Amino acid sequence: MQQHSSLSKTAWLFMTPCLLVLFVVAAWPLLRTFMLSLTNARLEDITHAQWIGSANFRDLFVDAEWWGAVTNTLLFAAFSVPCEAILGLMIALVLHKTFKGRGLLRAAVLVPWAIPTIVSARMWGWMLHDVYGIINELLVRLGAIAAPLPWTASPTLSFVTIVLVDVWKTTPFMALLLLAGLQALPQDCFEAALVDGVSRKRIFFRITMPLLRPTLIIALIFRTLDALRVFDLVYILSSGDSNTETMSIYARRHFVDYANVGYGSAAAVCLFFVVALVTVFYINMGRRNILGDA
Amino acid sequence: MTTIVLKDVTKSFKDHPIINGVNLTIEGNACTALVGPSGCGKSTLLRLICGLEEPTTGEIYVDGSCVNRLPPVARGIAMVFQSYALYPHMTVFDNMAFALKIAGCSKTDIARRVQHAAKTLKVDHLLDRTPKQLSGGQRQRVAIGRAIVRHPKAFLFDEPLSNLDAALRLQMRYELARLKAELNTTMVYVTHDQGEAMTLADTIVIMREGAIEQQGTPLELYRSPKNLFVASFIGSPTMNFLHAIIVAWQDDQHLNIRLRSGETLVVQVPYEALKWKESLLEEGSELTVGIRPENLTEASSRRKQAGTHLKGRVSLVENLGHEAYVYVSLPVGEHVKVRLTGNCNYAIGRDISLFLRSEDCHIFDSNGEAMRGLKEIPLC
Repeated sequence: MQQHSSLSKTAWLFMTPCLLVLFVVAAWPLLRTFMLSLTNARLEDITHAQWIGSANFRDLFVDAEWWGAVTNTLLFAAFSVPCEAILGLMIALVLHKTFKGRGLLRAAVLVPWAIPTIVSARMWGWMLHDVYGIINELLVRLGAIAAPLPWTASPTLSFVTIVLVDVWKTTPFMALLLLAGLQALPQDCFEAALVDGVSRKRIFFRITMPLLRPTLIIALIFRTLDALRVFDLVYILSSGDSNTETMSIYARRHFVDYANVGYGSAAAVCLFFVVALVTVFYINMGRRNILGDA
Repeated sequence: MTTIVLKDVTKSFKDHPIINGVNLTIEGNACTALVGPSGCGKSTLLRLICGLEEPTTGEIYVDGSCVNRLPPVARGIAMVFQSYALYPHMTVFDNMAFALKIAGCSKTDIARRVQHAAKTLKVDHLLDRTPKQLSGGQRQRVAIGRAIVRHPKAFLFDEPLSNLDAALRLQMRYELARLKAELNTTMVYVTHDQGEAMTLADTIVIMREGAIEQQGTPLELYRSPKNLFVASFIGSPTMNFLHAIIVAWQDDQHLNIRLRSGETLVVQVPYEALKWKESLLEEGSELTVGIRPENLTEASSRRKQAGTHLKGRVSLVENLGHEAYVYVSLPVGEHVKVRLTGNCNYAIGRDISLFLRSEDCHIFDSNGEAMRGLKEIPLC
């Protein structure tokens, strides 16, 4: 018994640095945001904030712009994540095959993911510029469009543009995760399926996909959480456009631009809960697969 | 009754030859074991028959028709994998039923066939479980069941027992023998365990470096190994080998040879049949004498036996209760293993005199080729 308690003391001792770091970088900021969201703190003078209860949240819930941001964020996640998953799976399946130059292709595929978002977003911003952009120029010359398109200015088109650029950027990540999953699948199962006379299409749907499901769900969780928190890409491609504003941009606008720390924090807290809710949903959906097959 | 014929089959992986021209006829309704050390190409040969690999050259015939270009399922052959290769996300029932579903069998037919196979293999109470929830032996049974339900022309087994522990392996070996009698189909069985091959197979094919060394019934291989490799591979514990030289030909049937320890013995060798390699049969040529552990006995001190005696010292005793394997060091630096029964109390370091009969000796020339078989030994 004594030995047990001394063991657990040692364990706590070893855990302390990690817990301390976690408290400083995760728990404390989170707690602080929660506290600020219940005050009328201003950026100019955070220390003299007054406790105003749930007033910020009440204001937030009747703000049409906030609900617009929520809708935009959910739509963005709903369109970009499935596109990335399907494209990523296709690329992963190709990269899983043995062919000449596979190593080079694997490295090349990763390039969009390796570029910092701020750089790639700015790069796409220039390429998609409605007056000087190369994309409009090319499309007009090819005769695909009659006149230059306002890629990042028109409400619907800018949403499509943002989704497309995100798909371009994040598909490699999805492909890499799924490729790792594919490579970990038991090869003999596929040989057994060949002996059983299963067609390639059926092998894919009846064996590859069910076996890949746990990996796919984890990849989807990662990507959905990322998509719900999306900030930099949208901020650079269509800054200040309420048609594409996401929850994190809304929170930043109120927090920084309007210096309304309390209200901005309330928006951040809501974003936190939306992300948490989606995570719980995914984990419940995938529990059987992730925990069951571990 | 399905016969499988391999004709001049070779297989290379990126210029690296694995199978070097194999000609083999696998008889129908019998179990053929492919045995050999690791890397000898036995599993590759099985995969070629199954259709998971395509031969580089040569043809494979199933029931007389060439199947080189046919996918595995069209060959009507089922394979049981070493790792079982069960579908982890399907229940036992679905694992066994999958091939039938794909083939478009009716639901009642599938249920009937799976139930029957499951009963035969005693897994009928496990049909709702997934492979994860099964023990190694149960997984093995399900893997066999998956092969059985298809009613294939032939079964291929790729080291099916090597993932099981020793006790379970013996039990499954017995059940495979039972199944073999029940199914009465063509079976090809790959193993590196000569004991499995001896007990299960009707025919054993011994392979080395992608080629067939010898093919025959278990007893044929046991009694008349064609060369040193086969002789050392078949039998457990392995055959003892002693260096010898030819002293003289007594007549055209009998050869006088001398062991390194100085003992001489006269062995019957048909000179006529071996004339073509005369140079190996000159006086002074080297030979290897092979003698199985059970053919050596402790020389009786009471009565004089006609034959050759080997004197040595006990260096190790493996006592199994009903018998003992005694390792004896001979003064010339050679070692022999002896299987002794009865009173097995042999102290290490004790002097021992062993007795061997020349008719029990296998004689190999300096190239390692057998000069005679021991067909005339009566069955015990």
